[in-house]
Amino acid sequence: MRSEQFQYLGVMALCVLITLPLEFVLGARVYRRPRRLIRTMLPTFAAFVAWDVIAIRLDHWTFSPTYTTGWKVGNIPVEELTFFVVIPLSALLSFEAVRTVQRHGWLGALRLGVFGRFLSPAGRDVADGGTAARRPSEELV
Amino acid sequence: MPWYTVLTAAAIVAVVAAELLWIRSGIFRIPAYWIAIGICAAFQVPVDGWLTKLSSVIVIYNPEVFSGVRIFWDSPLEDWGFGFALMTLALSLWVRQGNGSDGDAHAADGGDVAVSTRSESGRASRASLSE
Repeated sequence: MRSEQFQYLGVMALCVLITLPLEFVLGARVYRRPRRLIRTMLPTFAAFVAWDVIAIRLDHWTFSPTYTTGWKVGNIPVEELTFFVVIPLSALLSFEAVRTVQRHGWLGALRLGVFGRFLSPAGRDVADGGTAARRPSEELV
Repeated sequence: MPWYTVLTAAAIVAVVAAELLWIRSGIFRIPAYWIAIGICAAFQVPVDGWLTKLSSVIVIYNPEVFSGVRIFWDSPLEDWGFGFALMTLALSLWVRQGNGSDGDAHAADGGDVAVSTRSESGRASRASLSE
């Protein structure tokens, strides 16, 4: 194996690394909702992997043996399987980070991200901003 | 036949239709959705670019199956539709699960209220039925 063969996987790893602060600094709380995450990812993954399987079979696209590991499941490179997890995950993290900042401000989002909980103005600990998010004024955020 | 172009267009239509007619999470009315799509599109430039740049290409497209239009480091134009469909489907399913009043998702997640017109009218109609 040469190191260039990990380029595609490396790009995927970078995507995961770059988006990690959205969860653990800005309180996106995507990884911390695993059941909902799985129920979101499974249908998305299935639909797009199906497309990928067909596209690879029909020669719509191929992969450079220089920059991929050559590891495959059926005819799909593991890099592609990784892609269909990493990219939707990045989108969810971006969306939830934006929404957390909109709802709680930067400081509130930081608190949620770092401490995983939100200290409400009334001084009560609110599990994850849920109560705050349900305030009528913030309903349309 | 530009199959990638055709399939990308079909995927966009299918995902938008699924959201509007079936999943109905209401994401298209949530500003955070559009902001997130914008942020992700910005990051797609280097990520997709790295995978498709012709100088040391990683993902190789069959020139017969796409429009031939390449933007930002040689990414096929279709990739942008592909990314939009992929991210929109994930966000639609994710937000949908936060809107219901059922199950653990709502309690554990603190619920999402993003969409409210629909869920409120749902609650209202249930309420009027029970009266």
